[in-house]
Amino acid sequence: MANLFNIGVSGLRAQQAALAVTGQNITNASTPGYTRQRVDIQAQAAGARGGDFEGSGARLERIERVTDDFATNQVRVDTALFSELDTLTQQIQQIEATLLDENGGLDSALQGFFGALQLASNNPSDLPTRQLVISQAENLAQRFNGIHDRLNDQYANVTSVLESSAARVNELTRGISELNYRIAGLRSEESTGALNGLLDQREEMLRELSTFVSVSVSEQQDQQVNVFIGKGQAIVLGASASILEVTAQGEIALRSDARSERQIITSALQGGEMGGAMTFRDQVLTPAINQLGRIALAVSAEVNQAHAGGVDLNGDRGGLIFADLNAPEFARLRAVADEGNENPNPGAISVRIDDPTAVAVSDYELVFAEDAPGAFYVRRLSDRQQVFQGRIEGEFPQTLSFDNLTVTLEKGDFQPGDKYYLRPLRSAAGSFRTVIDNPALLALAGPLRVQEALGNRGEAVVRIGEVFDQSHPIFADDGALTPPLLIRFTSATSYDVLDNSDPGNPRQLVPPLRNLSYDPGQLNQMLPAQAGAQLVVFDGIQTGALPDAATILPAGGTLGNGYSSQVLTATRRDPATGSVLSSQSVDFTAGSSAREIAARLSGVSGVTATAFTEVRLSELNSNGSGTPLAVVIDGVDLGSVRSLDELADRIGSDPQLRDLGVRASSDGATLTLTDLQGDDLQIQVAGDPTDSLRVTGLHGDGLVLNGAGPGNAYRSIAVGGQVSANLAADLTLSSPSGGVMQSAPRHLRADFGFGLTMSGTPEAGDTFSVDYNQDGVGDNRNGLRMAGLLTDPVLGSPPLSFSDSYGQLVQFVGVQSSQNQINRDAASSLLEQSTGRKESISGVNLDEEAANLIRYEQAYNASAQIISVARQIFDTLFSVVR
Amino acid sequence: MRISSMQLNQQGSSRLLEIGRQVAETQQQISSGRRVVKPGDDPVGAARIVKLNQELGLRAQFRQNIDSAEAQLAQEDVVLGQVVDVMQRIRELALQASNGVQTPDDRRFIATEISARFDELTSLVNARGPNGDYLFAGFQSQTEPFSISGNEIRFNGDEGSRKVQVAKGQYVAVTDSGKDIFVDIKTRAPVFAVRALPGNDELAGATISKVSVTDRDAIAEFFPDDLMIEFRPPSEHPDGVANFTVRRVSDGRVVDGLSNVAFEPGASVAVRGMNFRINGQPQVGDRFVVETTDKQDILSTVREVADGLQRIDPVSQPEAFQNLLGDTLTGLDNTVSRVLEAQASLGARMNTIESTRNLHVDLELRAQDTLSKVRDLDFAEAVSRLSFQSFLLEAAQQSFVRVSGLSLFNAL
Repeated sequence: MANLFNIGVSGLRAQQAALAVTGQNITNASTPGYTRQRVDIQAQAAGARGGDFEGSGARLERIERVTDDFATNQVRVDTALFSELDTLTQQIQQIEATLLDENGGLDSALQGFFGALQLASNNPSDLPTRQLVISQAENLAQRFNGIHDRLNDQYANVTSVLESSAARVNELTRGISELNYRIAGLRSEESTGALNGLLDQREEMLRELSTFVSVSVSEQQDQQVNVFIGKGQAIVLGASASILEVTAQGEIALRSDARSERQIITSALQGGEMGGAMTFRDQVLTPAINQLGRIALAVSAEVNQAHAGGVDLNGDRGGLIFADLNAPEFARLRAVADEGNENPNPGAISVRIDDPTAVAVSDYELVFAEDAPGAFYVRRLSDRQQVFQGRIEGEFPQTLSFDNLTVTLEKGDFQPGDKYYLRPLRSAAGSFRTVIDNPALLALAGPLRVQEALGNRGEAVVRIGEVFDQSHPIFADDGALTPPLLIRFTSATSYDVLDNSDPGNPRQLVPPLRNLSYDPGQLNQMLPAQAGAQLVVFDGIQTGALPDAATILPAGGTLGNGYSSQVLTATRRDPATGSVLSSQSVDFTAGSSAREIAARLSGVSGVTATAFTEVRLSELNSNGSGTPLAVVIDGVDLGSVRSLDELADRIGSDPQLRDLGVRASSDGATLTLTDLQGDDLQIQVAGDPTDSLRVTGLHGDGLVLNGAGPGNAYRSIAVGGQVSANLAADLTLSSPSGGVMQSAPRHLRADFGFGLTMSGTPEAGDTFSVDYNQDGVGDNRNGLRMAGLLTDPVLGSPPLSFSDSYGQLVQFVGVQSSQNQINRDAASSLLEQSTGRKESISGVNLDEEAANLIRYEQAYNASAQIISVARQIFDTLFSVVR
Repeated sequence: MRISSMQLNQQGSSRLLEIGRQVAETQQQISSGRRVVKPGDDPVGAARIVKLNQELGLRAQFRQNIDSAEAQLAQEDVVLGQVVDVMQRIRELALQASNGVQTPDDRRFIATEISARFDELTSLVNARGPNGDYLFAGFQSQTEPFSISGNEIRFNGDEGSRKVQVAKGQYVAVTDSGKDIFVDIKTRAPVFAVRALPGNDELAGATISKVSVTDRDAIAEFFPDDLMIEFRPPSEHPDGVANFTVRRVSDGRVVDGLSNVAFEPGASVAVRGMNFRINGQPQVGDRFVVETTDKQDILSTVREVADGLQRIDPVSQPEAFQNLLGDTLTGLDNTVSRVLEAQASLGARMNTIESTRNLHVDLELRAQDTLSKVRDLDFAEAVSRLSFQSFLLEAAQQSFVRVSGLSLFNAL
């Protein structure tokens, strides 16, 4: 009977506890992180009674937390993923609208600037229209700066997100480590209720931690947990927590306590708000800023370069429209020393961008090896490729070239382990400035003009081509071409280019451009059209040399020119390294004419050779006693002559000599005899011994030929010609021994930095003068060239126009945005599912609890009834005894 | 499956938030009229929008250029038309003068009218555009192209021709140099022109001027060579006076033995049929060029006939008179045909830019259409989407209220 009492009481106790747990569940139904609890009531066994065992009531075994480790872990994983993508998406959304703003985007400003150039080109002498170009240039600069500032603000925002996240992470890890300590302490006392509360708290902290960074949690025997981030870096170990920090350069560092060494874990860290912020910063924002910077650099460089090739309203050559973004003050800002570098004398580095249109959209790291003093390497961060390896040579400045960049180590101590961040493009869009302020200084005119002489008889159309080298010495002076040039046709198919500094007496250039050939049927490049084209003139000792004495020959006999055989080698070298790429040799037999040499040489790729022969005749003495001096040129008997003028006229009117290309011009004192084709010139004279004629070749004072007396005996000499070889910039000509050509001939620059084309049919004697475009205020050639830059594909590979390049940036950010939006939505539903799964295990269902409430209340009432029944039994028993 | 009360609540509310977000997005699209509000809405479309805006801007710019080009071409056309009219009148006058029955007075009247026409012609070839640029000065648009000082008619412009971009890679010339139209006019027979070389002593200011052609055959024979007159040191002259030497430009040969000729200021010199005069105080080293040419500017031609009609008597100098009129008519005819040629070229250019403009308009419409398709919202679709989304939102709200109202506790 006492047993029945005991059973009833145990029931009461058990149901009371169950009701309390139910109440706890109900009141915590909306507590975050609360895990529902369940009472575990078990039947109490008792001793044997007779042959059977009899129960002795119910017993509260324990209060159980209903949880599932797998579901909990899955929630953490999905939380980290969702929170990463959510941060990323939100960050991208903050910048993307800036880029596609019809009024604030870059494309409309580019359009405005280049459109203003078009307008100014339509009306180049009009100052208000020119002013418009300047205000549009300022607008473009503001737009570049505005977008740059917006992106830069976002960069600062990311940094502060990282810093506040790191601070919260540190709070959480400290809390988790403290809970670990308390949980380990409580276990022994087996007070499960308190333990459940602590476990709930810790689980909620771990979940919150995973919103900041992806973590992996491992539970120990004593129910403490260890927490790891990144690639297994411990952030909580039992009761101790590490500290997470953000460095000044935005790297994430970990240290196990306040005094220990820092460990950089940036690349390992992922997931959560921090992972999302870093992905945004490194994969979206930095590339976007750099790409914008590259557009800014390319616009300023290309526009400035085209502008420098023009002439302004004052007749001066164009200056800068935009600030030169490669100026030293900008170049020095592009390298940043890591804060961990050795002090006190950090190195100074400047970064110059050689070709803004081809530079890679990336930052770089210059890292000094820890173990090998002086050795360093440079890594491109976009694809983490090593692009340069070298060592400190000891003398500053030391320059390195890679990826279209020139990096100069200026000064300072570069210590092992030092690290520098090279950011070539980062600040360019923010530094973009307009520097031109006077509309008259806008160089819309071309620098050159060509004029046809009044007396020209031919019908030729001549056109100034592109200026391809503005730094050519011919452009050295403002307001003048040094020297001005004159193109003079020596026949319908050949011309000389002369120095026209003195229009009354044009002279040969150095090096001479003589006897170039012209094809009336096509468009001719009148000047060497390649920057760095060279000219080698064959002026070796044998060239145009006269024999020591004249030979006696009958009229029309032939002589050799006395040239020795020679081997010429054309060598092609790499312009950057100087290494030999290929070489080709040509050999000439002794006595080859200049024409033959030129023809052979022209067969070498990259070489165009021309030849001509020139001899001067003077001191004609034809007053001897008997017959006057008779002259035979190239086998053509010109008869007796009394003056050089007479001889020149006879040569000029002889059809046979004209067909041979022989020309003569005499000013009375000197007769210049020329063979335009470069054949040998043979001169023969006959007459009295007192008659004489001086013949002068290229070298020396010449030789006096005098008459050999009566009879058919002619004193004769043959003179060989000269060869000029036009070479491509990467070729050199050499010969093992001197001869027609010197063994180490001078290679002189032959191009003028600009092109000139001509078509049509000129006639001999026609001249065209090329001069500086003075007062060309109505000229818009350079304006049109600049305006055309808008659509020129120049930027990147494959090349895109400026605005297409900007379109690419917009698309890049857009793709990131939409892609991450999709991923975020997917992650969101994953998180919903795993949270749902966890909730379905651990969450409180109020209906269930209400049912439990009823159930436990009824059981309680029933247990009370047991006591009541026991009491009645007891009473019954007493009454029987009384 | 068990559902916790909190889950039920959260699911309901997050669904409400999601639908609310969609409604807001649709609402933003409708209020802005744009399908693509930010690049992420349609990345490829966003890049196309940049490209299409660029294309539209360019085409609008080209149309603006075409308008400007058209105005300039039309103005030049008007001026050239007037030039032709003046030339026709001068031609009539010249023909009238050649008529044998004219008295000297008649010829003087004709000459007077030709002089008046000359002034008119001068102002036409020196015409300015609306912005003050000279039409026919080439690139030297702020320099008066034709200047007349005394006997001297000079072209001060250059051969430049300004172009305007009317389409990508397509440029149209909007000015024509006066040198092409009015200066380089073929003559019947070679004539000559004179000039001082730069580098002469400017302060002393010696000038050379053209007097007349004395022997047409001699010039024709000498053509195309030129003469160079160089002042030599007095020491080279036996009397120690200022002297000059005349040489051929082509080879430097002394012409007609004119070596160290004593200089008398203002005296005319005749060489190879060309009569010219040097005035002032030439310094040693000063050089002058006498160029033969088969081209002459139209102003000189008109000026010569106006002078010649008063100077040359058809009775006593019939040959000179015939030559004068013959040269004049050739010059006039060649000029008229050159001007007509220029007008034809103007017309061709106007046609070209007109068709280019039409092309731009067509392509602009097409680009506009594409842009609208890429960027703009399909309102019908958006509005029906909005009403469906609001319906969803309403349903979600109601079901949430309904579900959350269910509780066993209500029954306790």
